[in-house]
Amino acid sequence: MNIIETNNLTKSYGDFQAVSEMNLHIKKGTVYGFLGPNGAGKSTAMKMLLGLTRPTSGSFTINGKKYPENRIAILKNIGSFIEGPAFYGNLTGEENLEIVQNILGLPHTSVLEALEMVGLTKTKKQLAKKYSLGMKQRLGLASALIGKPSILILDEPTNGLDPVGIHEIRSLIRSLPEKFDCTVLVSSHLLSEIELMADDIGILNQGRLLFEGTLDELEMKAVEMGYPTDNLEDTFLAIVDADNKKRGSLR
Amino acid sequence: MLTMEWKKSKRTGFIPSFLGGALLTGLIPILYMAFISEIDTNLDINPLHVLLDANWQMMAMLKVSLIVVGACLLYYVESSDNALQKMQSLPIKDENLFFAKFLLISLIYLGVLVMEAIGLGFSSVFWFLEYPDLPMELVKNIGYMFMLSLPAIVLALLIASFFTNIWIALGLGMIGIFLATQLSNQNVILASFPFNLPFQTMHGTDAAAPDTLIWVALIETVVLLVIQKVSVSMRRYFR
Amino acid sequence: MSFFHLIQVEHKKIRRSRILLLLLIAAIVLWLPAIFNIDLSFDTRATGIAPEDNFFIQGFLGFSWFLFPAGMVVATVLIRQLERGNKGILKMLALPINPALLSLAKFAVLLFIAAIFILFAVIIYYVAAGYGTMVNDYHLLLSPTFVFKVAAVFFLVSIPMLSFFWLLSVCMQTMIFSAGISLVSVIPSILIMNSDYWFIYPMCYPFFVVTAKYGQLAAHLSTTPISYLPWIPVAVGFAVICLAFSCLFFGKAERR
Ligand SMILES: Nc1ncnc2c1ncn2[C@@H]1O[C@H](COP(=O)(O)OP(=O)(O)O)[C@@H](O)[C@H]1O
Ligand SMILES: [Mg+2]
Repeated sequence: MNIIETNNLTKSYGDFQAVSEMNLHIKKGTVYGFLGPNGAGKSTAMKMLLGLTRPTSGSFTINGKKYPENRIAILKNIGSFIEGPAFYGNLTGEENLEIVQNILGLPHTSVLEALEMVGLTKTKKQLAKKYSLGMKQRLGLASALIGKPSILILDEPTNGLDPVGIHEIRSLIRSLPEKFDCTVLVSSHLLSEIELMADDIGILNQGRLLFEGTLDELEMKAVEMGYPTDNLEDTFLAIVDADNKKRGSLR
Repeated sequence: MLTMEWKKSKRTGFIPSFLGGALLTGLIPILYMAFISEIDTNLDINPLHVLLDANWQMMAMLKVSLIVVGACLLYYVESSDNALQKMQSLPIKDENLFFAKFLLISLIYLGVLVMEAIGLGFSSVFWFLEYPDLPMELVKNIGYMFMLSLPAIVLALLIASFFTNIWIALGLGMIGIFLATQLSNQNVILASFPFNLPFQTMHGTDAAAPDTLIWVALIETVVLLVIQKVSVSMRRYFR
Repeated sequence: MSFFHLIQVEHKKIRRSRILLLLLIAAIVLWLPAIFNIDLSFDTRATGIAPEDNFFIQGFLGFSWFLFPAGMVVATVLIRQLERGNKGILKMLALPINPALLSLAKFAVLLFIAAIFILFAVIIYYVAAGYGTMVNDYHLLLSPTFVFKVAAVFFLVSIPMLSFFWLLSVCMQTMIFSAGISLVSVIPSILIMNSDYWFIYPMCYPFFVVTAKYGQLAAHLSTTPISYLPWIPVAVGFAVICLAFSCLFFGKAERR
């Protein structure tokens, strides 16, 4: 059963297509890795799912509900983190989460839980603008995780974290489907990272979805096409490179 | 929602600014009587009329500036550090966010008016002959001025919500205030410009009766709120 | 890096900020009411001023009393926001430049914006007066030498006020306070201007100068004439002190 499905989802800025005719199939209870180099259109696609930007054409359903008719209902079940943290710099970490908690109508314990999950309990009384980059990132994550939403959309969640933090967050994301019974859509520009977290992956380049499937399927495809398979990072690079060449020759 | 807006305005200088502004406008009539006025206070006159005629222009100017700066600040807090994006990805309506800000400024503005009433009341009692209806007059005037300021509050917030660059919002607000000071009060239409309404006093507007202006203010408030609601869906369309 | 070069850099930063468009709108709003109420310009029995002088002076009175100072408060907010937003200031402080020079370069940009604003007001004045001339069949246009002289004096006497705004914006961490205090300091200038101690209050200099001009042009109106002493030394001293302190404090908060 697919909890998120998109149908030829497209976003153009002028005559530039940031996302073109994308068909995603995200299964309930899985971690879906969204992979692509910088500027591939990952954030744009995720923003459309959240209603932060309007699709130029195409449509999508989340949990069987359609945007924009069911905007509020869709957002009730999604925790999100897009393009780096968004917060109120004049408030403390805890106060920032309290605002989200209020809007979602959650009990106050959820704030403490979320802080605990991302390891900000000790610094919850500091102003968010005084946080380090990694701490801001964690605060953003906490505001996505709070209330254990059934769908999580995380855009490059490990950017700016230290190695220990990256490891922590990765294992956290990996464990979420079992712990809270939720579905995670997570993006990254590193295959090595997606590899460790995701059940399914989608590879995006210049707005187009080049591949969708499990890691095993990716390996099979690579063998078929004659791409290197001993290192998945090389596979990813080869796929993107081949796509870029193909487009280059088209122009 | 309202308590949340209140919380968001913490440490931004929003509350202290309104507090400072309130003290200042409350002091204006007192300073006027103490240092400037050469009026014979033994005459049998309505002290409020005298005080308002002499000082209202400046007091209103201060308050409208306060409204504009406050509105810009509330939206500035949203746009810096991307907080508005977070808000938009939560299950709330943009127009509720707006309405909560409107309520917040209105309430705190009422506080400013009360301070002014204290200043006016004090000057009346201290310098003028006893005027029996003073408390009632004060309450009536405050209510009137409050109603007449609502359109200015909505308009200032509307401008601030349209422009993420705080200086543009602030600049347009300033231009609006200036325009209000230049417009004549002899004409109902000109007097009804949202930033001009707070400059009107209950006894001093020749162009229209007080209840007409109250109706004008209420209608403008509703219309501006509707515009806001429409513009939210428009902006969602273009986003 | 030379100071001149630095100003060029600072000037580049206000690109696409739309501040000039904003000032142009302000200048138009300044003269629009004058056109609508043009009859008032011809009603000069009480003051004994020529209608063309009256038209010009009334507009400049409004300009100097509120619109110009408020516009410059906005420009100060702009310069400050451009620097603070996205942490541009940290980058600047990490470059090998003297922060005091940086502060002065930014102030120079503020002066530049002020000059443009005054220029806009003058240009729109000519448009408005030209229109008034056509409609009323009365020559409302004043000679450019006269107008530009007034504009130049206006610009010079506004420098102490601008340096005060600049000092506030450098010293205050909370933007609303610096903008709020600047605005609040402008509003009572109308009161202080009529007292004997107007010269200690830089916020009323532009208004005072225009009012004095009004008095000169209007036969039946006596306004306080300008006395250069002790005004000039006070004004210069005030500006120098404000600028010195703003150089001293610039970037202090960020480097804490
Ligand atoms: N508001 C916008 N206006 C114009 N172009 C945009 C806008 N937002 C994103 N883009 C373009 O869309 C492309 C995809 O961006 P994005 O989705 O952020 O990529 P990423 O995969 O790195 O998250 C980029 O080329 C970017 O320049
Ligand atoms: Mg991105």
